[in-house]
Amino acid sequence: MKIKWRKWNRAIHRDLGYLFVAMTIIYSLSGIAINHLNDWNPNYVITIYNVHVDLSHEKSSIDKNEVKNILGRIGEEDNYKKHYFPGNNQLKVFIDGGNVIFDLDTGDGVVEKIKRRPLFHAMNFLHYNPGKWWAIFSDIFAGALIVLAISGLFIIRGKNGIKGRGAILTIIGIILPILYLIFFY
Amino acid sequence: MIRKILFLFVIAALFVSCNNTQNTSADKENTDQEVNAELVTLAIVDFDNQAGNYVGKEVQISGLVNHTCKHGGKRMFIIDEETEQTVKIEAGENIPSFDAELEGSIVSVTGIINELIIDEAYLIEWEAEIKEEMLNAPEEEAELAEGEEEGEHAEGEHAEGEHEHAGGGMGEAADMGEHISGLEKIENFRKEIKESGKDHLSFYSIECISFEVIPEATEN
Repeated sequence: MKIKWRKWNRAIHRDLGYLFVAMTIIYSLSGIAINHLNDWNPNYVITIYNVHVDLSHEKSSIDKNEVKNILGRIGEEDNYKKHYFPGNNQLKVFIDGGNVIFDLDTGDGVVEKIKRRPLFHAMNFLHYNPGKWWAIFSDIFAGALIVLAISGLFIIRGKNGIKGRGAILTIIGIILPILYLIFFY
Repeated sequence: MIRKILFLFVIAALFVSCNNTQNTSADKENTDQEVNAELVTLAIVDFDNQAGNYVGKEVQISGLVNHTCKHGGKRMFIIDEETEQTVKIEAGENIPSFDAELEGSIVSVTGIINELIIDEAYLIEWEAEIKEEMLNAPEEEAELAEGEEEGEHAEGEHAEGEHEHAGGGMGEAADMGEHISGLEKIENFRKEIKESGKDHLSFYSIECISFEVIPEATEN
């Protein structure tokens, strides 16, 4: 009995495609995001701005309540987490979603607000930080991509298939990375 | 039926992607933390002096999270608030990342102490790499190349790289934006080695196996 390999090939390609469409989009988008780490932070939106408060107290008299009071003057009274004094004339206050560093001599402060970038933070987490089980699933996905790529070569028959147009495009796709390796490796 | 299932999937996907109140890694990782009866507990103030005795061994240490790496979340720095001494914590294979929201929290970390030895051979190799990069790169890229070397060496960001050079304190400084050139760092290391009276410098960090956030009420 002759095995209908094209039928099986189409079925495998189709079902793996359905199964991994979400993974492909997640990895593609986060791949683009991570490719440009020098241009942006794909995980967090970090906002930095300057503030000024009148600090009349001595460092030794600044306790948790006083720090909350100071935060109140910049609209962060409810966000206090922790504080400490880096160096002799600085106060660093950790707040929910960021931190503030005050110069105790001048009262000048720098607020750093950190907010997770919607969608990308989650996708990058999946792409960039695999835990043990997610790494196994990712390996399966990577294997499936290979199967998808190879099975995809043989979906179409005729002049647009692997013996015609498909062959030309496939060869171009092989040549491009080889050219890059020749010139830049 | 299919439409209903698809609709639920879309809602679930949106919910997950927009959820900004994700649990800390600690919650997830703590579940498989094993209690080690012989676990050594170190204080941050004693870390630099004692870490050499426990290289490759599992220890526990607690401190205030002063900084986390915002790009990959693969490391964080904990400090002793009084002395401002710092310990670098690297994410182990069981820790996906350190979330930025950990900053300002007190954490208890269990992990393995790693030692990075910087000696003259190491610095010569590093220096040669920087110079080669600068020679091969066009003029406008040369400075960038040096910066990249700085990243690979002193910051230790690229753990998968051929050479992982992670100067503890300098790595922290670099991670916090205090960037100095790679060649300048090399010279600084040479001075430090000379001043130390030894033939190398040792930098210690902890590869995190697990950690937990200590609630504020039980900080003391």
